[in-house]
Amino acid sequence: MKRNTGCHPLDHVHSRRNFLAGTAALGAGAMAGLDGFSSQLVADTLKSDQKRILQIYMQGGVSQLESWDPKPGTLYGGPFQSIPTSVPGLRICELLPYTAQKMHLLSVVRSINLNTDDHHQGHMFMEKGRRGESAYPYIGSVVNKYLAPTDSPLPGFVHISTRGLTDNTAGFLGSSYAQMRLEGIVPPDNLDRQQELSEQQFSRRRDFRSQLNQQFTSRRPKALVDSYDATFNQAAQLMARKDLFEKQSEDQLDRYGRHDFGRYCLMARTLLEEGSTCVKVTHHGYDTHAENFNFHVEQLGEFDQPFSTLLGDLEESGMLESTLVMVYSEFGRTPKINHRYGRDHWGSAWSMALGGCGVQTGAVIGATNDKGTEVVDHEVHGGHLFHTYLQALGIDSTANHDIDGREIPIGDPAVEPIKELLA
Amino acid sequence: MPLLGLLIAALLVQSAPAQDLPPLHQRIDQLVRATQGEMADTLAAPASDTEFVRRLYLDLTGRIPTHPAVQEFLNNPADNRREQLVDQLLSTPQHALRLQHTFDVMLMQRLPKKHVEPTAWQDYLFSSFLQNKSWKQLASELLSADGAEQATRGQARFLLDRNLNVDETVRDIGRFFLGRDLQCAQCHDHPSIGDYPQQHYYGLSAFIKRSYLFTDPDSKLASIGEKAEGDVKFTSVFTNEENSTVPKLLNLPAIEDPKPAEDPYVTKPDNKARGVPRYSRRQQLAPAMIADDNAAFRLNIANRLWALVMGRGLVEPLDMMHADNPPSHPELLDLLANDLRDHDYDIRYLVRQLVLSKTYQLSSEVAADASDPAAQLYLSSALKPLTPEQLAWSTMQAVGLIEQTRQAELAKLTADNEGFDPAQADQALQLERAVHKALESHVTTYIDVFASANSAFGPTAKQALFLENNELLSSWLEPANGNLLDQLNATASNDDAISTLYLVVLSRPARDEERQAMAQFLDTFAADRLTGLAQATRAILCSAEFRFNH
Repeated sequence: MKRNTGCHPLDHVHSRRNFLAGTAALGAGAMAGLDGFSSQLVADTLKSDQKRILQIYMQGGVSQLESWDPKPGTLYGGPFQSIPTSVPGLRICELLPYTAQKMHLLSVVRSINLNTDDHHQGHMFMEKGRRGESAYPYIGSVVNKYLAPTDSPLPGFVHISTRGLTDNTAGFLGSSYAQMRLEGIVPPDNLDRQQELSEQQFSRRRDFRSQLNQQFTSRRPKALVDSYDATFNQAAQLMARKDLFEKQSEDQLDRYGRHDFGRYCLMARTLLEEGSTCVKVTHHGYDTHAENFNFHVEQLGEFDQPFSTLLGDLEESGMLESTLVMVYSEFGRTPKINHRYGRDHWGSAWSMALGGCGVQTGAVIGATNDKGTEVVDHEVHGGHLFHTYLQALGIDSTANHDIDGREIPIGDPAVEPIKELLA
Repeated sequence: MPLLGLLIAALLVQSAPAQDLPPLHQRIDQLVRATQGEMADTLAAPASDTEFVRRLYLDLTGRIPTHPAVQEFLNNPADNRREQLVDQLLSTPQHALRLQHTFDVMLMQRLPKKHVEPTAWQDYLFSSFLQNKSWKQLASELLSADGAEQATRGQARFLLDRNLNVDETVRDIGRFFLGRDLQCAQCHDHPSIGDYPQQHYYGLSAFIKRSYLFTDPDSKLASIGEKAEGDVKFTSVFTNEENSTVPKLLNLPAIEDPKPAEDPYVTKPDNKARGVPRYSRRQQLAPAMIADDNAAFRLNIANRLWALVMGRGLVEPLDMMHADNPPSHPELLDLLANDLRDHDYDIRYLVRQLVLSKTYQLSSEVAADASDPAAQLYLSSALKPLTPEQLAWSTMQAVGLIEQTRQAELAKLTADNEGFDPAQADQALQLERAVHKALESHVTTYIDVFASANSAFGPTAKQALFLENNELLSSWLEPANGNLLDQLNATASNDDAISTLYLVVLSRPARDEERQAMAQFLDTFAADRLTGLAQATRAILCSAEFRFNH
């Protein structure tokens, strides 16, 4: 297949329009039951056409040897054993017993080489599918732009994280598509109306605002004003759903866990059910330069149950068919164990897991050598993965963004998706 | 010398008719009309005086007019009152501040501070625009500053706060001074834009490749040093053909180095000394950039000033000028660029002509039968989202905070300086600067919430929540010292309050149906009129009519 490796190839202009036409007109009606799947309508609506994405970002760099690519009994294997999973023949680290039971819902890529050991560079490559500093948008913003319905009941791209990283997620797409970052489950700024206003007064003011706009907009170009008005609807939705940030169900917390990550995963489920198109949860703390093994016991102990519960819930409700799940870091960790029992940054041979949204399940893509020191089969990097996510979501990643008349390839034209993962 | 004589005669012939031509703004209108064809039937009406006065204040002073300013304009019986207002506003310090914000964002893209205090840079821009420095001079200063002297720190920010990183600097010189984003030509001739060969990127980089960031061991200040050697070589990733280049601006002649001097340095670079060569390649950049034979320089700034005033460039995107992306009005862009050159790159002259045009002075209400007019036909005035700075200043203007602050600062200055007289130009400026300083933190708050990474309009839920619920804004809507709510609260009737509210916040009288709607809204607060008035004000501050320049 001939590929145009230029910066602004023009031959894909039409495909973008086609896929937009195909994904337009996705529905409202995704508001309703909050607790579990009490409303079948919600699940049915979400199951239908709308595709979405759940990102679990293991910040700092999870060790592939303590997770998806265990090598027990080898030189650098470390102290943990591998365990069988729900996929015959596939073994993962014993630190993930719950996730092991859900591996039939996921596939593992064991051959990532980003060629960088820098946190920021690695993270950017994994999010943007492009190497180095650039104004390219994160996957979440791309998905927000092309898949989030204009009448989305919640912001299209929500990131749950506790540390204030200043992410410019939208890049050249513009801030409408940027993530809305939630400080854990703490409500966003300015979510409370002025104390002295009753709810009724506030809602009258909102109606009055809309009324004010009608005359102004009746004879002016719609697009700008509509995009402005849409943000007030989103604000209203967030304010109306302040309960999202209030008490979480005790029953559900029993299942997810009461620690932060458990609560975030539960929040992520709620947001996806309620209509967010991209939800990203950051699990901090994998940068284990010292005491790698103790820290992984702790970190993965926190990760395992909530993640597998969330994955199971998505499957049970049918949402997994239309929800791409990606579990990733900015890099892995060195096979070689340092003198502080730590593992250092390792971008050249590591792993991630993904599934849902029609992605092939139970597959293992690529391999590292016996010691885990290099990729020996099917090497991929952030660019291949980026195409894979988008194509799983039904977005033609070989098309162009149209930014004020400027054509910019969505995915890196020099690489292709991992075909084995795409049905 | 007959040849010289001929040349002079030719020049005279060329320039003679210029005096008989109509002013630029009329020629602009002719050229815009010429492209409208039959669509001219759907031309919007001329902007009303109230529409015009709000638009002009926003465009020239970066904020809505005060209510007295609107009244003064409307009561001026002179036929040329619009022209008078234009001239009045162009000479205000607020206009200098507006251009400061515009060029700050354009040139620095809200990059974080690295080596230069942003205030030094902002002060430099403010003073430059206050004295109406030409773009030619401004550009020349930005591109030649080395930051070694305290006095030039501000203007050196363009280069220094990019760390003089060659890729970033070359790209941004291309974008902001030449209207060309040459980034894609870094690795190979641009694949789809024939006008952007790799040579252009490297020809430009050769001007600065020998320069480097020097940190003074004592003061720790970074400035720009330069070496006397170092050549630029480049290889296309497609053809593997190796090339080299001396400094060369686009397709203009290469600037060959002079014969090397025996001692190539004024100051030899080492750890303690900033290198200064006898022949500086970097110092060739400014003169080459602003030379009359560099058409890209004037086309770029003409297009950017047009976009600033009209809401879209004649070439869009602004940094993609090339043969395959022609201007919507080629003749017009040439006219603007050449006229600007003939007026010595006088920004104020061009802005004045643009806002005097009928094209600028159209209503933003499209004609009833033109539901979706093509923006590049200029059949109606574009909606321009307020910049974060415009929104902050306009909001503070509307709620009366600027006037409150001005009074407070005036009291301070009068107390500290005997005989302080704001009627004197220099002291008025001192007062204005004090007001800027006092309100700066609020502007920063707005920038934090409303600035977008790219300049396109990208409203967010976070911004709507801020407008609807933020406590700072709530505090501005409490009555105090003659501010807006104080005035509204003092009105005898809701009808009077509604009149004031519309005039102050939207700079126009309320229409009958608007009066009714707001009266009904206020009635629901009957028991608490003040709350009602504050909420009515807030609703208007959240409206699209307030959010856009229209």
